[in-house]
Amino acid sequence: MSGTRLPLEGITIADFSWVLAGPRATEYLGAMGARIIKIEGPYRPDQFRSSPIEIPGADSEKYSATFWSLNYSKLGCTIDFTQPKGRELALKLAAVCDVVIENYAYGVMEKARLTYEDFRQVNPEIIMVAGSALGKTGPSKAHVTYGALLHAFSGLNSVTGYEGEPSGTLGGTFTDPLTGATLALAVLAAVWRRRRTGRGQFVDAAMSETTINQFPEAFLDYTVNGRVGGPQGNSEASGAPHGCYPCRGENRWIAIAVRNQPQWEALCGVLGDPEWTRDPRFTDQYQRWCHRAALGALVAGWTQQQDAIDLMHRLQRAGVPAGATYHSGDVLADAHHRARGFLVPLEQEIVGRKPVLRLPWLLDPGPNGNYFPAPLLGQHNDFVFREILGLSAPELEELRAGKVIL
Amino acid sequence: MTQAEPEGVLTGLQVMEVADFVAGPYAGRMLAEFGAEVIKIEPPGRGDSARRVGPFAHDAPGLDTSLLFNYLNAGKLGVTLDLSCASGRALLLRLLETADVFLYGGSVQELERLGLGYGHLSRVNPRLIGCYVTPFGLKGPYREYQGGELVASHLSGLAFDTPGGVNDPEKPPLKPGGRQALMIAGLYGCLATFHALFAREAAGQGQEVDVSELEPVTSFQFGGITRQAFAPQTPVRGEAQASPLYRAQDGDVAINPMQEYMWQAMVQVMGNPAWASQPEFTGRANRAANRKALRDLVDQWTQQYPKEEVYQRLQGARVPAFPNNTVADVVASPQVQSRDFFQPMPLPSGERALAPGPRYKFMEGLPGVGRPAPRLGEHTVTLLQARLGLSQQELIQLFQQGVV
Repeated sequence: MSGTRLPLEGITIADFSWVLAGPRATEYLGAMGARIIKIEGPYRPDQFRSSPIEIPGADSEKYSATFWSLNYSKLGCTIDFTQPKGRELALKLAAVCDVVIENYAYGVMEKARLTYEDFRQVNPEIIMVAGSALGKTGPSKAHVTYGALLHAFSGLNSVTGYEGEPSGTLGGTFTDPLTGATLALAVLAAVWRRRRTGRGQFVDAAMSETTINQFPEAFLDYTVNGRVGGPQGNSEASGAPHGCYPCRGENRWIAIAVRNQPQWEALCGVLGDPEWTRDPRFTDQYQRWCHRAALGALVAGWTQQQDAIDLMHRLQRAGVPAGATYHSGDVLADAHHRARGFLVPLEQEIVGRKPVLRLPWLLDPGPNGNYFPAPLLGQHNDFVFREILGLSAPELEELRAGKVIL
Repeated sequence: MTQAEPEGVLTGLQVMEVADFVAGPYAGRMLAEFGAEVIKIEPPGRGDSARRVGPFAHDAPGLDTSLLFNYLNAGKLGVTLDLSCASGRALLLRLLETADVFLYGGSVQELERLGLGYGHLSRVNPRLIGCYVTPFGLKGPYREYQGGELVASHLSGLAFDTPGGVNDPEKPPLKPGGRQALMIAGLYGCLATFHALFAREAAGQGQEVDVSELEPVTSFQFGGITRQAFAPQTPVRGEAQASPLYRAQDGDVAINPMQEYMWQAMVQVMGNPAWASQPEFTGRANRAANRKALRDLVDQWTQQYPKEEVYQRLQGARVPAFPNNTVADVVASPQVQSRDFFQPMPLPSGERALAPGPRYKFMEGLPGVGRPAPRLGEHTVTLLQARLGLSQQELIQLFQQGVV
């Protein structure tokens, strides 16, 4: 067997997903070698084509940097599946696919009569994986959301914040990429099973549930011990200093996580062994934890004069777990990420040469991934409808005239 | 003791786990949920360090009562083996001859000390998949740096934007609650192991899988990273996400009327207050510019009702809103309950604790975890006898010498 065959070669996925979670899943699967056919409404394309990061000079309705970052390694076609002809075309496509994936708000696929049952009738072995806010069943299944609101619903906000203060919120996007990885995993597992059993199935993944799964100990503390926990700041159950301290310059910070005696001694070495480190309140791990507030203030007094990134390297070389609080610019410039090839440059006519993030793991010997740039709207219509589905030129013309495809 | 279990996606797959604390063990648990046989190898005497991390069942600390450990290791078999001595390593290598996956979770220094790198293991079993979940990965200049939850949340950029809508820039950036970065690394460890299973089938040979605890959580920051790559600018803390929380009678409610039609629907639900038609609150840009004043006005409305009522009324008008739930609210949620998401999980004591179920609902192939996490060394004797054919005398010797 050839060593260069991609792991998912031969798997075709009809991708009805949009915005974030679903597209993240299918770009992973595309990089693993599956053929991803992204299906967008000709007049209702993926919302992220037009937001939020625009590309100077690009048609802002058709291609954005955000879209670029979430849709590599896919073919793109358009189908208005809300029309009867479009629905027919979508089913025809699903009939030659192994997997259907979608993450529309509840009701979109249901109203179009494109559910698992519908797909199964044209393809009995089909696998369908659906991502949704709260799941495809239950009294609130149709509730509308944006990913960040699920940090609230799932209880994640309630344990996030400064110690002893009311709950804070997670910043940035979290639930959506988390669900993306979850959906990709679900597809792989279902395909793996089908190879052995020949049976397809439906997988229902709720963004809320994958988020709840992220901190099981807090739920067990409640169901077993009756305790409803609150925010813990940057601290851990034990260990001190364990927190985030200000550094020189605006918005520069460093996280230091001392978890045992050798790390404390290493920290003292980098500090230059000042008198206060020999204070009896700081002699062992337990004492330091009891006096963590006083200790934190002393550490902060020192870090304030230091450069965050330089200090991180000095601490790490001495054996102290430390990480500067990076912003996205720091991530992009980081030597470790560069050495590991975390950013893969791709080339496309509108964009030029810009990076995407590769799969966040490495296989050796591989092959590691198949990367090509995100499609323009309907870029592969001809390939998908003519080569894969075998439609004739007049049939395509009729679909175009009926605004079923672009 | 065996019971008929429904066939899982990974039934028949053998996984040997040498993984400590959260990230590696969580990958192992996810494989066990799919029916893989996961054998967890722990150092004799002390075991996995998560055994000493709370919360503990009924607040009674002990090596078998950590709820964190019990969740992460449910469904596995447990063997103790001293891998720092040659005899212990030799036994592990024999177990690996027939295994499909070796799952490692720990530092690269420890990995080198134990001599369990993939180059060595693949000579023992060329079809073996070696999944290594380490703080910074197996390669790269920081490979020997020390990681953990706090370091990964800050170095990934996750903490820079948390809490959302920073009110006090003097207060430090925050890691989110729980151990998000490590759990994400575990999820990706499982995902990458599946990738390697397909790769093994395609290429006919095993794979080394290199999962850094830093990369998966950093990939969540793709938006900011992409912005930097296309139009570099110095990011401002907390700008990625304004806080969507508003005060209700009994807590907070999260609301995001992002589109104009959602805002209009929300104004109606609020009873069309006069202020809503003032120019400073007309249009998305004006509302964003006057965010603080707007928040106070919306708060005045939300404060009159319990969070559940604000949520239901807004969702009734299709405005994205959810209560800011505590863990107790989540467990009591009719939506979550109707899906039987929380499931009884056996503990070593025999008690069954209500715990979060798997991340997804499969029609078939996802049996979940049937057995509790192992007590320290629970299956050492039975497994070494059954798999390696060790005699009673050999086991006694190994025990006396502290190998098992």
